[in-house]
Amino acid sequence: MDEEIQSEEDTQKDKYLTFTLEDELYGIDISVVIEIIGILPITAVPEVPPYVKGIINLRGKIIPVVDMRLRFRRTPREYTDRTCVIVIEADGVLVGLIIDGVSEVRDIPEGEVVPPPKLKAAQNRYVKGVGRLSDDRVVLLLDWQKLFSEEEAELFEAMADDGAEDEAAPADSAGNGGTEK
Amino acid sequence: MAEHEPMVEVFIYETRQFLEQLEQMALASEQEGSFSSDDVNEIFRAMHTIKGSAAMMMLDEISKLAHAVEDIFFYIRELHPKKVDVSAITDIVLTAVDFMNGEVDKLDAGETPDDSSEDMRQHTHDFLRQFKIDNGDDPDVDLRKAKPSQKAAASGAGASAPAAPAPPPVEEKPQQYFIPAAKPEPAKADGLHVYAATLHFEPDCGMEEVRAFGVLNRMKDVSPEFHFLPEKILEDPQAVDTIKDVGFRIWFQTDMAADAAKAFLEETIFLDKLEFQELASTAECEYWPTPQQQAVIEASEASEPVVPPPPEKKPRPAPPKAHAASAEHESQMISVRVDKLDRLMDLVGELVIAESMVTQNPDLQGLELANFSKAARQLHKLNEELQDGVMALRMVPISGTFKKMNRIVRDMTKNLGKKARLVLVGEDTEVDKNIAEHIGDPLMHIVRNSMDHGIEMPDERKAAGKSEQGMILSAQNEGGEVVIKIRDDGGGMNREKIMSKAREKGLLTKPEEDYTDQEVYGFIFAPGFSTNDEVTEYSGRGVGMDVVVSNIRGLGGSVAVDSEEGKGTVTTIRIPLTLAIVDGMVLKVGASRYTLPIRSIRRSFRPEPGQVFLDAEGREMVMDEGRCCPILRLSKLYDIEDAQEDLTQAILLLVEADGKPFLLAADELLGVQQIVVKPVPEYIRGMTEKTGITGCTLLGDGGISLIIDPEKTAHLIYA
Repeated sequence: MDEEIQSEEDTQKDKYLTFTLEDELYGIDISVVIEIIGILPITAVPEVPPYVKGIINLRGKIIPVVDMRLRFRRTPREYTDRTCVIVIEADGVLVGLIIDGVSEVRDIPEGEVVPPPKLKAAQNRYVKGVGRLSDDRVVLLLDWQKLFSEEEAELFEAMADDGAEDEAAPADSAGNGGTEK
Repeated sequence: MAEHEPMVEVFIYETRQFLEQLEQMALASEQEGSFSSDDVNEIFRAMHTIKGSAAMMMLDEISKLAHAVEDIFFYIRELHPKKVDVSAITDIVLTAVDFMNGEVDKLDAGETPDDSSEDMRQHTHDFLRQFKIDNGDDPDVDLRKAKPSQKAAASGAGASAPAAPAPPPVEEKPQQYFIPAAKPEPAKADGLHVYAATLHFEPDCGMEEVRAFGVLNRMKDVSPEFHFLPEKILEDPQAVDTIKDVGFRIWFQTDMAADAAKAFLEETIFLDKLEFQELASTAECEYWPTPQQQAVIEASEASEPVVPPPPEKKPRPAPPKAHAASAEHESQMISVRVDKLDRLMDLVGELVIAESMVTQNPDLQGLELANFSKAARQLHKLNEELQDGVMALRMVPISGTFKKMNRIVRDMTKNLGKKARLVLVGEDTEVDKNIAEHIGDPLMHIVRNSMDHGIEMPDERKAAGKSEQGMILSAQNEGGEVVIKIRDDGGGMNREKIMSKAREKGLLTKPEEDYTDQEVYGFIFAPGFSTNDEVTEYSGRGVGMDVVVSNIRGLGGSVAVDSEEGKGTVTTIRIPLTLAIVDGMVLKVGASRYTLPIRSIRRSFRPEPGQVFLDAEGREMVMDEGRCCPILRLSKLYDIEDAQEDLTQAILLLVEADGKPFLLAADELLGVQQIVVKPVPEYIRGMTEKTGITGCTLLGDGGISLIIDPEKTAHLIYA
C-alpha cells in the first residue's frame, strides 16, 4: 500500500480519504480535503438546519461545520476524542465535516467503482459511486459537489441577489435586498 | 475585475486617472467660462499622454480620438483664438472621456475594446475646422504641418496595422527607462560595437513619436546603452516634426554584428529609409552625454513633470507655482492594490485578537504580574497605533466621489434647461475606500432627484427671488460617522402630494394627522414611490430612492430627509467611517455570546419587578420615556438553552435602529470590545439572512461571537 502511494505521489487521481460514519466506510476525493482536525469548540448559529452544528474558529478562519451523521439521518452521537473534522474546500466554499473518525487514504481505481443503485431514497444522490476494496469491504464515495454546491444552490436561491452587496458590506439589509431593480 | 498583466493594469490605472482629471478640468473650465492657459496645457498634455499610451497598447481608436481632441487644444494653445465656445469644447472633451472610459472599462473587464470613435473624430475634426474659420484662420493650414488628414490616418493605419508586426507593447512612464542605472565609462567596452543610425518613417504613417518609441523599446533588449535625438520623443510635441524632418537619430552599443544590428532596425514598421553606420567608439557619436550631462537631463525632466499628478490631489488647475510642489508630491506616492491592504487589515485584526488572547489568558488569572502588565499595556498601545495606521491607509478623501456629481449636475442642467451649480463643502473628509466607492450610487440618485424635482426652472426661481445657484453637497466628520448632506434650495416637498400618494399606495398605517413631517418625507424611500407624474430620463420611475436606502443601510448608515415647501430639501446621510472594525458590546445569553454595535445602544438597565407588562397578544413590553418598547428575548429568537428566564435578573439593552426602539434581553454584559467584522461563512450565509445576524467576530479567548445587526433585528419585530 505504502509503495503504491509513493509511486503515484504526483497524482491525486483515484485517491480517497476514507472515514467511518456509524458502521460504514465513506470516501472523499483527496483533492478537496484541506486538513483534518480534532473537534474544536463550536459556536451555534440560529436558524440553520440541525445538521449544521455551527461555526468554528480555525486559526482565525471561521468555518461552518456539518455533522455528517445528522446529514445522512443517522443517530447522533456524542463527540469524543476520536471525532474528527475534515475541512474541505468545495468550489471555494470551506466546510468542516464532523465524522466518527478518519481511517486512511485509499487508492480506488475507476475500474473498482460501480455506480450506486438508483433507489428512490434521496440520500443516495450524494454518493457518486461504490468502491470495492481488496479486503472485500465497500466504500461509499461522496459526491461533494452535489453535497455542498448543489445543495447550496437549492437552499439559497434567495440570497443570489444579495451576493454582490455582501462582498463589500457584510451588513446588508435583508428587508430591502430583494427590492432593487 | 479581471486579472491583468501588470502593463495592462498600469495602463488602465493611469488612463483612468487622466480621464478623471480631464473631466474635472473640462467641467471647471466650463464653469469659469474660459480655458486658462494652464488648463489648456494640462488638457493637451493629458490627451497627448493618453494618445501615446493607447497607441502603445494598440488601442488605435482611443489614440486617434485623443489625437483629434488634442488638436483642438493645440490650436488654442498656439494661436489663442478669440472666440472660444467653451461649452461646445467641453462637450467634445466629455464625450471623448466617456468613450475612452467605456473602452478602458471593457479592457478592465477582460473584453476587447473595439468601438469605433470614427464619428466622434469626424465631429471633432469638423468642429475644429469651423472653430478656425470662426476665428479667421485658414482651416487647411495644419499647425503641425505634416499632420496627416484624419482620413488618411484612419485608412492608413487601418490598412496596415493588422498586417504589420505590432510594436511590442510597453509600460507607461517611459521617460526614465533609457538611462541605465549603473553605467560603464563611455569607452568601447569589450565585444560591444557602436553604431549610429537615422530612421526615417513613411511620410503618412502618423504618430511618428510612438513608432520611434517602439524602436527604443526593442532597443532596450539588445543594447546596454543608447542615446537618441530628439531627446524627449513623447513629451515634447515638437519631437514629431523633428523626426519627420531630419529623422529619428539613435546611437547605440550592442554586441550584435553590424548586419544583424542593421537587420534589427529594419524590422521597424513603417520604416521608409535607414541610414546605418558603425563607429569606432562612443567618442565618435555626435550625441553621447556623459553621466554628468545625463544627471542634468534627468533633473530637468524631474522638474518638468510629464505626467500630471493624480487628480484627487489637485482638484482645480492649480496656480503655476503648485507645479513643482505637485511633482515632489507625486514621487512620494505609491499605488497599492486594495487586496494587499485588505490582507494587512485582516492581519492587524488577528493581531488585536491574538493580543487579547495573550493578555487575558486564563493561565494568568489571579497572578500579580506588574511587569507583565506594563509590557502588555505597551503592546496594546502599539497595536492601537498600528491599527490606526492601517486604517488610515485605506482612507481616501470623499472628493473623488463628490466630483462625479459635478458631471451629473452639468449634464442635467444642459438637458433639462435648468440652472444649478453644485458647491462642494468638506470634500477633504476621509472615508474608508469601500465606503467612498459605494456611496457614489446613492449620492447620484439623490442629486438627480434634487435636480429633477427640487430645483425649479430659471424663470420660476427668479420669480421666487432665488439666486441661480442651487445645490450644496457637504461632508463632515461627526464622531465615528461621516455626515453627508445634500441640500438644495428648490421647491421642497409637498406634504399633501406625498400623503395622497402614500394613501394611494396603501402605505399608511395610522391616522394621517399623526404623521410627523419626517415620517411623511420618509415615504419617498419606499419602493416604487414617485410623485413625479411623468417618467423622465432621470427620475420618476420610482426606482431609486429605495435603492438609496438599501445601499446606505448596507454600509451601516442611515438616511433622513427634511424639507420645507418652497425653501428646499436636505437629505442627510450618516455612514460609519469604516466597516472593518467597530466598537461592540459583547453580551452573554445562555452559553452563547453575541456582539451588538455600540452605536445603536442607547442605554441598558435591569427592569424593576412590575415594569414589564404584556400587551393583548402576550408580548412583553416596557414603557420607556413615553414609548412602548417591545422586548426581544434573544434566547427565544435564537433558541438558546439555559438563558435567564426572569427578566428582573437579566439586563435589557435599549436599542434604536431606523428610529424604532426595542429592548434586547441578555443574561449578562461582558464588556465593550473593538471587533473585527468577519462575514458569515458563505455556506451558511443564506440560512442566516433572516435572523438579524450580520457577521461574526473572534473574541479574546478564541471563541466566536455572532454580530447582531440592529436594523435587521428591528425589521424582525416591526412591520
